Amino acid sequence: MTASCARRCIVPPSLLYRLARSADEAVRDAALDALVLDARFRLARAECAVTLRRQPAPVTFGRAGGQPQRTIYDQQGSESQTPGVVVRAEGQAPSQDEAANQAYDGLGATYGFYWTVFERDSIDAAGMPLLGLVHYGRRYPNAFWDGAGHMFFGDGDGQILTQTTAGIDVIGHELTHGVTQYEANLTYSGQSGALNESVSDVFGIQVKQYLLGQDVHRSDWLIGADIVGPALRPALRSMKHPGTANAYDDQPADMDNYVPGGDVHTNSGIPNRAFYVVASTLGGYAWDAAGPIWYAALADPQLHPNATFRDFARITLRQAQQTYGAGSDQAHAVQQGWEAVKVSL
Amino acid sequence: MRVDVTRRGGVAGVALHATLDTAELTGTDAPRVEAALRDLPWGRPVPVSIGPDRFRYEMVTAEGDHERRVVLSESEIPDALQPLLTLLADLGQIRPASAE
Repeated sequence: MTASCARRCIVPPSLLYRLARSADEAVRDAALDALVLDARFRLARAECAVTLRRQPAPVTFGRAGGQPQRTIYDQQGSESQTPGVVVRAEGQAPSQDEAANQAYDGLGATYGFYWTVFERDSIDAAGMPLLGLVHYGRRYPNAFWDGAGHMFFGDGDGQILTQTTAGIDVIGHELTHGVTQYEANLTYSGQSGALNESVSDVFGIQVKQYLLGQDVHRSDWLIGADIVGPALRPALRSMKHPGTANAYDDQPADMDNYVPGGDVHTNSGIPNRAFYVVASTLGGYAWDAAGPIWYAALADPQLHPNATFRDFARITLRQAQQTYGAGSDQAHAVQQGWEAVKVSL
Repeated sequence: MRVDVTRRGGVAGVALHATLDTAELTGTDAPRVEAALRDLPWGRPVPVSIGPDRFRYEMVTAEGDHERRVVLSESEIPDALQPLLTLLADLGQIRPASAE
């Protein structure tokens, strides 16, 4: 804690009000600054006290964090949800199976991103082992997180999707569904469902950008570009230009084109683009400020499972204001992001 | 027996649709698929959520003037219906995620 913070924190508001009426301009400005900060802290405390609803995390012992616990299983074309044959466990040398190695590396890259940027120890923030099940089903054109500690990877049908282990952003996307499950647990339908999808794209693309060292201007902001088959090339979704990723992309880019009753993968284009605008307005790397603001919003106790876009937008703005200041570039960028997609704050 | 099958969901976020006829199935598949279709829980409420990026299958069939509909999660699909899903994969047309 700095000396200046210590002074601010122990001065009661009544004294600050008196100082704010001081004839001395320097004293007055300092007191007003302190009152603004003080009010922000009191508001945050009051909101947390009223709305804190999540269970406290269990105390875990003997785990420092920072090291994933990965196991990759070969499902050998089966659709059994029980893990199959172990092909690579944590710390073992690469296997002969390229898909297994890609899954191992992708789980590791996602773990590393969440740990390095947010100090989050795996999906549950308590060191959950990451289990990857490759070669699930026959020509299965999908990859998913099952909500119970397993990520399943299909080999793809060759038309819609190819080998799904090749998509680092898709691995980040699926594991983020797990993170969301342990945080806001956004209901998977309507606007909250589209937010759930969008949050997975937001952190999925950051996992890819982080691995490749891409700043916001070098990234293509495309989701699934490494796993699309010929029918959906060049990508599944575009966070920069929703609705343009492939011939069947029906994502709207703003609320004027919101699809009532639409699929969660359709309306997620709106918050996706808001994040892109915030990150590209700020420049640098997406995880410098935009990512942490979105992460703080996802973990905010006020974000309810049935949140609307507007609910989420307001929480991102409050998080930006609390962390960086009400008049900060970050707060302005968040406002610009939601204005661009016509979500009123 | 004709049935409209639409697969929705999945990380790709597109739908896959086909109008299929069990007569297109070979050998013993047709009667097994028809029996499995008859046993589906037609008309039950649509599941609200079946988990992120999981597939769900919407099936519609006509019986006289009466249209019957059911939505199943992929984990609810009986093994006997697999030949029908293989046919969907081979003949299905891709549609936007939110297409009717």
